[in-house]
Amino acid sequence: MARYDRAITVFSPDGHLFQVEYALEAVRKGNAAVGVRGTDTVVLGVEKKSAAKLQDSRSVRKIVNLDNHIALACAGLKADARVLINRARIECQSHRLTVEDPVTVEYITRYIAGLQQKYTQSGGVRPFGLSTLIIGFDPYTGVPSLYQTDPSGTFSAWKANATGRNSNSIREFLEKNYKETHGQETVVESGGKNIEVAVMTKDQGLRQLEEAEIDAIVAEIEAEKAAAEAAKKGPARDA
Amino acid sequence: MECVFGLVGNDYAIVVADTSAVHSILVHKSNEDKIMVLDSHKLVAASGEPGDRVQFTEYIQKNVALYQFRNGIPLTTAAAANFTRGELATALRKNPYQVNVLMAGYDKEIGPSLYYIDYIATLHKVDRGAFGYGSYFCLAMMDRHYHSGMTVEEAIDLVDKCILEIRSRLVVAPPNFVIKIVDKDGAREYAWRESVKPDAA
Repeated sequence: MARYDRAITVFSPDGHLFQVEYALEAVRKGNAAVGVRGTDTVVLGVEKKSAAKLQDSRSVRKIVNLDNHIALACAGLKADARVLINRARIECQSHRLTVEDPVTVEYITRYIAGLQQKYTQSGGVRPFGLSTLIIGFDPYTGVPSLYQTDPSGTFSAWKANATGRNSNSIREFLEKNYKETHGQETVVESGGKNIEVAVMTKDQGLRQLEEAEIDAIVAEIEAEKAAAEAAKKGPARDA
Repeated sequence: MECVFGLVGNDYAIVVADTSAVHSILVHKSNEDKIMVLDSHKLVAASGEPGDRVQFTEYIQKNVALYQFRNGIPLTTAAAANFTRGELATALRKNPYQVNVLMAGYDKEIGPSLYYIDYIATLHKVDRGAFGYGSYFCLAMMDRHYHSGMTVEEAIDLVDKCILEIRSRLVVAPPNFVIKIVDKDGAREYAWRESVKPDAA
């Protein structure tokens, strides 16, 4: 196995590209990112590891705008993310310049995934160590979308998804609780204490939620959970 | 034959451009909008070679947008003007853009500003400026009637005076003009001045 994992361009005998799989490992170790698509809203949440006291947390923006109607969050190597995000932003403007149309979410996802794939098939480079969650609205139909890409360069559309640390358990939670109209609540529920949440609507674009708003929603959810717990225990004891 | 002019007031800037698209002796259309909204608080009125005009202003617009996404904050008017000038200067001794630009913008701390950028990359920050044959008449009119701290109504009145001069004194005067304004509420179209109803298209 050791002989087949050095270079990206070498397949192993059982058909693995080990460098890509190791990149996926890097993603699995990264901060969790969650995305949920509703009927007219899309939400992204990213786990924030507790900020160092001296660090200016505002300079660490984990959910970024690619264009007025597209946003991206990712899990994995954040430095690699900067490169991809920069290329994607340029592509968004370039597309507007050449065809006088904003990109669709699928187009820019395909572009980013294509870029990630290129780096799995070139000599002397390593794959990007991140998976992205891309949200946005179709510029003409206004339909919201959520896409995910990964280091291998595959991409697909999702109603709700998570990537990064604990993504499996978060995804399970999403599968259980997802309903077509869901908005912020689902994301925050699965997130936990330190999260950055951004909501995108067709008319208002991307809006980062303030800490106060997030706290309020978390409190609401905790209250709901407590009420549900109480309801479960209550009748049983009486009987 | 193309006329572009503009002026700065106490908390707004106005730019005016004719709306004729001309090729030799033929007028293609008389409702061509030559004032591009560069971003929420900037206007670029351009005149010159039609292909270059659209190509260059769109290129500037997309690069300004890219800057904003990359850096999270918009460019100031001065920065955008200097960027524009830089692009003209770089292309000048290879493949010049034949485009003259009046860039008007409003910045929160600075207020309104107007930049005169000609096709050989001259940059001047001005109170009032004009390009084209119309400039002979507009500059004279504005020199006579402009004073700092004009209200929007006074400025529009001056604009109308300039348009009247152009229409009456310039031999191939363009029939229609568009007026756009930028202030703290953003860049937007203010009015059209039409003496020939443009095509239904």
